[in-house]
Amino acid sequence: MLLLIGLVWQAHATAQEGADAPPLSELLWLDHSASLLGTGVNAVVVAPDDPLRLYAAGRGYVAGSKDGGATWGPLLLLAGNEFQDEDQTLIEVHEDDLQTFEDTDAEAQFESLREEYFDEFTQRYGETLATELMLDIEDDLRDEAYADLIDLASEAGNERDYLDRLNRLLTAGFSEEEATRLASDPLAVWSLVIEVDAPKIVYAATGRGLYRSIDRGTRWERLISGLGPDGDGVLSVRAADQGKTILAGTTRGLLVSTDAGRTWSRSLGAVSSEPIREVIRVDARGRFFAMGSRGIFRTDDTGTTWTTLVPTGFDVADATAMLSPAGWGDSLFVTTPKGVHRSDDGGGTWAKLSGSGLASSGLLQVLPVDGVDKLIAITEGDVYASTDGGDNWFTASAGLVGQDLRWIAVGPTGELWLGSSSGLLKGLAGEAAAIQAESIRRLREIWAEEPSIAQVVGAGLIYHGLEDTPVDGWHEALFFSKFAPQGWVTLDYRQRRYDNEYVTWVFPNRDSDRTLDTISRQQRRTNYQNPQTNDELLGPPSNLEWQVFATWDLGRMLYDPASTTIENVGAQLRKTRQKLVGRIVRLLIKRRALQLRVVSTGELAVERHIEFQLELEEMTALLDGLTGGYYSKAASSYRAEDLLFNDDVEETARESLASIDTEGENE
Amino acid sequence: MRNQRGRWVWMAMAALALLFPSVAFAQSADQILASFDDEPTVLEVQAAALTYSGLDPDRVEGWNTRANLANLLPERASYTIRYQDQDRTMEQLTDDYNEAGTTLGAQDRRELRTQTETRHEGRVEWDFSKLIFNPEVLRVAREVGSQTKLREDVLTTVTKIFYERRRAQIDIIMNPPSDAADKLRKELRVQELTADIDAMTGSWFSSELKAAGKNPY
Repeated sequence: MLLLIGLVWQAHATAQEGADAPPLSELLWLDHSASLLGTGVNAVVVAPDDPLRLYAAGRGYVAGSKDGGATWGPLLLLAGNEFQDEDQTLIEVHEDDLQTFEDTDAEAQFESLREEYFDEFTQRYGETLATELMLDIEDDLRDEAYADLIDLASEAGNERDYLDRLNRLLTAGFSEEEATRLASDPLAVWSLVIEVDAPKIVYAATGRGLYRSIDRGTRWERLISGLGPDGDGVLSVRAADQGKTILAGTTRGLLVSTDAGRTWSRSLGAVSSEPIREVIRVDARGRFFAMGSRGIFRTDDTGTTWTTLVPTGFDVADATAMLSPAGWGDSLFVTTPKGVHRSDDGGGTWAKLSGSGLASSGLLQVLPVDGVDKLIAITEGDVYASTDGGDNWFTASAGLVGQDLRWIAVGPTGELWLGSSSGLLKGLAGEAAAIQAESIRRLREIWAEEPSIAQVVGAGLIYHGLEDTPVDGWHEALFFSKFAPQGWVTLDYRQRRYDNEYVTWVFPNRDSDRTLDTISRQQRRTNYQNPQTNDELLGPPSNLEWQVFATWDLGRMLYDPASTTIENVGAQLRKTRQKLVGRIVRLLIKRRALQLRVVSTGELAVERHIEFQLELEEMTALLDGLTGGYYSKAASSYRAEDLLFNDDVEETARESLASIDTEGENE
Repeated sequence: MRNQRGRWVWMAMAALALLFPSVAFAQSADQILASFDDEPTVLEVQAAALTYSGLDPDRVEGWNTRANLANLLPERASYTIRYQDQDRTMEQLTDDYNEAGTTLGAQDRRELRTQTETRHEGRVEWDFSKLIFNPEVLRVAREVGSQTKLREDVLTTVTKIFYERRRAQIDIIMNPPSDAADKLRKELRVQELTADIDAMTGSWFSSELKAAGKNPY
């Protein structure tokens, strides 16, 4: 799926959107995914004192928005430096994953799929939906390599602890399926909590422990560690007394702190080893309830002693959620796949809600929207709404296509947020919302045709020669290089020549003149020896000698200074890569945010049009600069006016609304 | 009469613009943006800036290749030639005497011995460990890192200046100067930004503008 999608709405538009609860009968879900949110949202929470301040969490992150979902920024990244340091694992993009779509088998796969299914889809769903489906498939194929890479890296980093975690969870009583799910994802954020009496404090229950921020998400501290053999993955958390008392449901029981998280004690009794999936606080009496896999428990003394409740009418092992909504007094709700069960006496007696139209199984959550009459509930696939206190229900799933629903949240002014496998959605109503939704849908089509973020990042890394930091390869080569000697070869070639000349003067008598005539001359040349003196051989006229030497530095076998240099250079390159990747991703998000701004703006005056166009070009040019021109070759929608969608967007939006009305009537 | 017809045309155009604002404005925006088509594109400017600052990534690729090939050649090669010329002269004088001790004759023998030797010595040295692990790749990798930072700076700066200049140019078109001072100020701003780009591209930018028939300064 798309790794990152940047969404930015104009602040004033968002403020208007979030002002009131939308009529449930006209509910339309609009994608508000941004940045990390596109990877899936497990939990959403709205600050009780500020409806514009939102927090969303998914695999490995907590993100925050200060403007009602207009812009999002990461607040806590579980796969950040800490994760890398501890597990010595880095998720890196490799060259193999950076090939363009055209260069991979993905294109061939897509073409064969297109031929095989497109006509069938068109006949069954119409051309528009068929095209959308094909684009989704294409998108998946395009990002397949990158997703695989991240999975591989995660697996590699977590394999060591995986079995430990799995065994702990199985021992703790989780079913094999659930234990596998929990153990396989230590980066998951299972729950986000903000208590009404301390709206600045945010708690994140994660597979890596319990995190808390006391300044609305700016800084975080880990209160409980989920790492190591003694670690506790935290599944749920609640707090009271302005954060002084904290109850954390972990995979191995319930931990309680009464000094704001400084010290923790393990609750004894039934909750001591039970995995606690849900902890809730009933405000009226300050009671806490905990839900494990074998029972529901209640404490009236902040976790010191627990009473096991034995509900009638449903099996606690099947329970999917437990809640005590504000405004409903002491009422306690438990959702099971077979329905919603309510207790008004602190868990003593239970009654099943008998709402007609509600899904008979698979309910995940039920929440009051406004007072006690308006309710909203989710299953994995649908949203249900009731306006008469739960007697009658109708589906309110318009705009939801293909995603698994995970979490629904209601803001202080009734705005609705839905976390799903594909991101965050906001519940809106009316024609303006429909037009906006249609524009976004078209923009997403454009994005689907653009290169994926992994591809752009990859192109950038290749262009700068940073596609690979082969630290392991260097270390390996260095190791083997120690066995290779330093060697030299010498060649010595000599060429000799001897010239001997003998001159003898013979004088017949002593006094005679020594004239030249009397000279007898002998001249001999030889290469080997002096024939007269039989001197020793001085050597052949030429000879060639060669020698080969090899030396080893045995000290290198024990320590080679190059190994530390490799580490230094590797660290520097990783830093440079991270900065470059960050820069490219930020630019891509900004560019997409700008495209969205154009879409949201609609009609453009000439100055604004040029301003948008230049901004778009500038960002494209920067991306081009960082990718050696790859981006503009691969990206479409270079022109701002291509994003205006003025032609038939309103008409299509009205058709969508009409189809919602028709569905409502049919219901 | 002509004035009246002109007024009608303007009114019709205004009405069209009101009725179909996006079409009218989009065309106008396109026309304005198209007036810079003959200037170098931002990608060309980026490439020129990188070349001028010596930060072209191809150079790094060249370093890597050369660093790897370098170790195939000997680390050290030496050649010595020695020439030795040795002359030795030996003189032997022999006198012959009779029994009476009278010298009968003499023989003077002289030997001239010459030895020449030419010696060629060659020595080549390899560090075979460098064929397996070449430490130079670390230096190149480090350089790649620092060049990436510099390249990013250059690209960001030159792109920002390019578009600042483009905005200043468009400002002159969209908001024509009201007086001579305003005109001069706006033109100077464009020239200043042109000079900035020139500084980063070794005057390549202004020479391209001149080639396109535009006066850069």
